[in-house]
Amino acid sequence: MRIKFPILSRIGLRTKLLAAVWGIVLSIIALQSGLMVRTLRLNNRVAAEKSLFFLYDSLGDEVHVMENAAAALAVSLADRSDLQALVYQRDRQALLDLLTPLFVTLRSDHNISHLYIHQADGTVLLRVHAPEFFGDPTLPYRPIGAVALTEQRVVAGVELDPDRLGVRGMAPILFQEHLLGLVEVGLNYDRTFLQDLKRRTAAEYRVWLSLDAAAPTGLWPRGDEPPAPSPKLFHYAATHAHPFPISAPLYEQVIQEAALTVQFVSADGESWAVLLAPLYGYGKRILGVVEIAISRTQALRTLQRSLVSNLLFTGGLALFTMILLTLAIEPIVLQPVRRLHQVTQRRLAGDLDARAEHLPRDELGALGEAFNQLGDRINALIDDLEQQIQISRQAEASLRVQSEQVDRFFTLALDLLCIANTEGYFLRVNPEWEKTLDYTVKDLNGCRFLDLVHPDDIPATLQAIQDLADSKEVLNFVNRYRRRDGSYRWLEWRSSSAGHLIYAAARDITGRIQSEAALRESEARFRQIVEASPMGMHMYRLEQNRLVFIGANPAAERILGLDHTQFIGKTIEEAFPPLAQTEVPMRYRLAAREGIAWKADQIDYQDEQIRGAFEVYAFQTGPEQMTAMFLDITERKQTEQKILQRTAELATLNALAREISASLALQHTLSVALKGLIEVIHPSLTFLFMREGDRLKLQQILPPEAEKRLIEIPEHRVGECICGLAVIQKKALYSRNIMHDARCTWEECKKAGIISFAALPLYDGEEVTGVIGVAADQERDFETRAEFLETLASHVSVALVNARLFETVQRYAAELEQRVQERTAQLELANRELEAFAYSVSHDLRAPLRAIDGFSQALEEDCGDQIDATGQGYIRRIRNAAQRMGELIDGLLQLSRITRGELNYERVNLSALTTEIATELEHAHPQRRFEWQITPGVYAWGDRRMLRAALENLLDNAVKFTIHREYARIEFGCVQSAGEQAIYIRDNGAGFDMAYADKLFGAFQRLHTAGEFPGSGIGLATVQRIIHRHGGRIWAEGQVDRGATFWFTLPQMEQEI
Amino acid sequence: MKDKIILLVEDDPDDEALTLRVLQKNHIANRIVVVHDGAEALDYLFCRGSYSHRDPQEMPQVVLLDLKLPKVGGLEVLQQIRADKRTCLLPVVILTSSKEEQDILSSYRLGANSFVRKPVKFEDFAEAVRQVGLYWLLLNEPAICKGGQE
Repeated sequence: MRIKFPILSRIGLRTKLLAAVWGIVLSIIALQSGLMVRTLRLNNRVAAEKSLFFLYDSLGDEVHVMENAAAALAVSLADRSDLQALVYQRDRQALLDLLTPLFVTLRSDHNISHLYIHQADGTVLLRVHAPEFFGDPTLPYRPIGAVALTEQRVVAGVELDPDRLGVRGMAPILFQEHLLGLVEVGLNYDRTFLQDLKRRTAAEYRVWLSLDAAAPTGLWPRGDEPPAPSPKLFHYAATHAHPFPISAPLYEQVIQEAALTVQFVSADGESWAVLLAPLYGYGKRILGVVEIAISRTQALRTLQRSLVSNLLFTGGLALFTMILLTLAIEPIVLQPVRRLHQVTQRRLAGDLDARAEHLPRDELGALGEAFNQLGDRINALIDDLEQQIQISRQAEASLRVQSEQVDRFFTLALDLLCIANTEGYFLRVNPEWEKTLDYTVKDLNGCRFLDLVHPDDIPATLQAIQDLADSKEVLNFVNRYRRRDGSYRWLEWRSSSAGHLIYAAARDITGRIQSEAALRESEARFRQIVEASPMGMHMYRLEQNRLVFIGANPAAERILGLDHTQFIGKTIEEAFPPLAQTEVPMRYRLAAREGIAWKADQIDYQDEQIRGAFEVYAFQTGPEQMTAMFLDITERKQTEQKILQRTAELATLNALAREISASLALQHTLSVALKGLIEVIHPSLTFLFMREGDRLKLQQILPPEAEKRLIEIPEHRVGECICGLAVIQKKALYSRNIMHDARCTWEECKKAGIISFAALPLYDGEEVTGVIGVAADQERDFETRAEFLETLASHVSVALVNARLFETVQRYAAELEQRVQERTAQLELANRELEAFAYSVSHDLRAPLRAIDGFSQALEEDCGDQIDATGQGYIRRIRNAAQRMGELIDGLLQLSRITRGELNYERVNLSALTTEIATELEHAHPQRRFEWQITPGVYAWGDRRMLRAALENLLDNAVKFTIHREYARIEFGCVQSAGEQAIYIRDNGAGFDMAYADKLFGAFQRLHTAGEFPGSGIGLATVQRIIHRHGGRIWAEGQVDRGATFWFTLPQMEQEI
Repeated sequence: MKDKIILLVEDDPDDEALTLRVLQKNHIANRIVVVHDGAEALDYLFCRGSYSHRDPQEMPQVVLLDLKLPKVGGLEVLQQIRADKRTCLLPVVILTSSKEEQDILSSYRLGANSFVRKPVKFEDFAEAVRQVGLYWLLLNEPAICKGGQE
């Protein structure tokens, strides 16, 4: 709806805009002024009340400041020690002298009214005050004084005197914790104070006071005279000459501790705001009423003045703004409008390219832009129209060309193209037909094509023609056409009809049909192979990475014994859940997706034994398809595993056997046995009990960390539980599950978490000496490994027996060793005794002999003349006997020394020794004639001293027995025989009868009388002892009167000793 | 000049008698002091016990020392003689029945001047004693001067 104002439409744009702006500004000013007036009125009232309460609070603060000042002054005085001393002494005159100057100073500085000293009982000791102040000497001390005395603390507050109001500060005088009295400082609080407040706040004050707060009569009847002091209203102070009438209820309300404000209009028409509030003394005691009044009329007047000045300023500002606006309208609004108008005029005049320019960025600018776009759009429309006209002209020309092109394509097409009619005649065929059917185009055009169709395909062809006649399109229709040579070609058709005309394109698909047939044939063959294959086959297809089972061959069903139809459509993981945990699905996927063939042996173990084994070949059989071919190799793998296990068992047993033969350390052998057992059988733990009487004591556990599992079973008892039964029954016992085995009677075994168990007894002969326990945490059949386990146990048995035998042997050896040591010690003792004996013999036996010989000679010399020839002969006999005895003793000593002494082996030149001795003998027997034959270079390995003794004895013998010869021929030499050196000493002496040859070397054995040949009979015994001690042999050959030969052998080399 | 003293340490009275006889027969006119055990021999040499009044200046020309002695053995006596400054240079002849190699070695090791075995045959014994006496008393110049001090 549009309202038309004829007058407005005639006025210019400029005028309209200015009028609108003026109207709006003026109405805003008017509204604002009204609101301000209203707000001021309200604010004035609230402000008046607020300032009244503020003033009341200030009054309170002022009083509070005075209280603090009074208290501080009182405390400062009470703390003075000179004052305390004087109070204690109650020296009033001295106190007066002290306080008077203080009072004067405080009065001028702090406007104090008086200074009292009270005693502890409340009576006044001293008063100091200004001359105009008249205190009542009988007045008991005030309530705050009572508090200060009883509580002994500083107290300050507003107090009433009979005719005035004052602030009092009271401080106790304490001297050494002892209360002496009070200091009272009074400050003035009266009319002067109020006048001072008024001067500062521009408010009026009145204070009504009553001695008895419960019955104030602070009201006086209407009248101009302020009330005079009365018993009830004893004090009145005012700053204002014009009292306000206050009603009794208002006063009562104030006394009830509620401050309130009242608005008054005085008789002269002035408006007042009045606060009535209680005046509090010490301890919240109400002393009277304070009245504070502010004149509102005066305040309002001030506000009105400020409002007028405000309005004047706003009006001026508005005027200035409008002038600015008037000036701004021309460039901002009117100029752009005019430019638009000009552009429009130009376009109308035919200038289609005319555009609005220099547009501002506001709505007017947007209008100009839209105008420009409108122009552009019109221009574009005109262009399109011209182009379309051009195109339709070109289309006509191209249609003509097209017709020619179609003809050209018709003849060029590789497909068989034809136009026929629904009656079954070719109307037009393309040259391709010639190639396919070997008829010319001329022959075929107008020919009845049904004649060329294979008789078997006629019905279908007729049906197709019928369909075409019904305007249906025929696609992918296939039939056979006869060639000129009578053979048939397969043609695939795509036809459509228009009226009775058929447009058809055909393609010779004979080749494809044939190859498809060949393919079908090969597929059938392939299927037969699959069906007949002895290898199981699983076919999978990959669908969105899910490996879906699509079939299996009969061999697969036979091998797995499963009906595979149930798996079809399922994923491999669903069909064969155990495979899900293996790499198989991944491998199959790789085969299906990437064509990566995979071959592996899949072996299924149960209880360490092979349950089933398959050789699997996975390969791609098409895009996203694969076949897994598998052969059951369970038997082969089982055989392999058995061989491997047997090899491991034999290796372990072999190692153990080696260990038993190589080591006698039982603990080590046992450890090797148990470790071998663990390596071959893989039980959870294995342990060894050794039998001690009817107990089986735990000896070893492997692995060591399993020890804590058997902590509850440190020993077993023979005849109990499986281990104990194995001992009694003397055979290995096997339990697949001890939890359900009646033989396992010990709960501790079950608690140890053992499931399967084998107990293998160990034997020493017929006796069971221990048990090997083999345990598994899962159910296993250890009996399948019985042969190994029992052989191992028998090996361990052997090791135990060996160890025991070894222990016995060691014990025997130790005993033997001890016995040898004891015997050796005994022998050593005997040797020492013998030595001592020999020493005594050599020393003590000879002394008496010497005495016998010596004194015999002394007798002969000294008393020879008194003894006859017979006696002389006796003495000679005595001396001979004694001397022979000496020789015997010497011989025995030598023999003994030879037996005892140690041999110091060295290489000894026997020939040189012999020569030395021979020289000595020649010296000893100067009257004798000797013929020496000494073979040089005869060496022996032995003790030089002993060998010399032996040679001395032998040569001495030879010299002795040749004494009756004219000359003594003595030979020394050696004969090598049988790798041995036989040394001989031969003489031409008396010889001996070989019949007594065995007596030659016995001690004290003599073959001749002492008369014939003197001698001890010890010499040859000594020689034999020496030769024997050197490990040699000695023997003698001889004949009576034909000389004797003494033979001996000695080791020649160090190594031969 | 005083007679040269021979100190004979001999426990066997037979040997003592025979030795003295041989020495007298051979006119070895020296004073022969006979002591009968090792302790007495040491007392004599060091002027102790029953010999405390003996003149310490008067030292024997030679000591004929048996090995097998009561109380203190001959080897022990020899050791003490050699250990003392007064007697360390005193000629000591071991005169014993023993022919044990051990005894001979020990004696020489301890500083014996000679080792003479007493033969059973008296003539041999007499010859041995005679020669010892002659040698040590007449031929040998002792290292100990008068007073036994250097």
